[in-house]
Amino acid sequence: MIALVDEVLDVASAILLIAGATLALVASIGLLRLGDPRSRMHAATKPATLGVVMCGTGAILQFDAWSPITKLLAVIALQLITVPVGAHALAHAITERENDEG
Amino acid sequence: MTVVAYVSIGVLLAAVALTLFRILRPGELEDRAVALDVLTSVIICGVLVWAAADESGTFLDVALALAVVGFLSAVTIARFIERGSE
Repeated sequence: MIALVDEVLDVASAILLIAGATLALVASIGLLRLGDPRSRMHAATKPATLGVVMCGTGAILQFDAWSPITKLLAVIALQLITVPVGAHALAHAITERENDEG
Repeated sequence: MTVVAYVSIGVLLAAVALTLFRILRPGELEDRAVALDVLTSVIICGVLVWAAADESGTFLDVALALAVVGFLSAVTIARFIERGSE
């Protein structure tokens, strides 16, 4: 029974890790392909954050001690809080500059 | 698990290559700031995948530090774009 649970957790973790890595790749492709700064910011922030969240969840499933799990939860929480703040600051700066020019 | 880790690391390396290409290509400052943000996220992903494959918590501190420091660059560059170097 415990072996079966381990197996299921391993498969779930593998799927999450690969999905997270793929989302990071999607984010970098979006950076190259999309046309204007705001679309690029859209491509950069959302898939990259979700990629980190998925990789973190996949990694959590591999650990059974509390210390690494807490660190992983902190990484996920920090990423979820800081990425929107940084993106907001950049978008604000771009808007200000466009207003100054126009 | 090792195969999964190698596949994920390969995909992440491709992402790093594309992002570096975006950073090094001539362009606006804010695009490069966004790309640097993505690069930080991709590196955090890589560290997490590595830690999961290793099943050791040693590298998690690196991911934690990157998550703390990562967004400072974006905010700093945003201030610079808004106000110049005064």
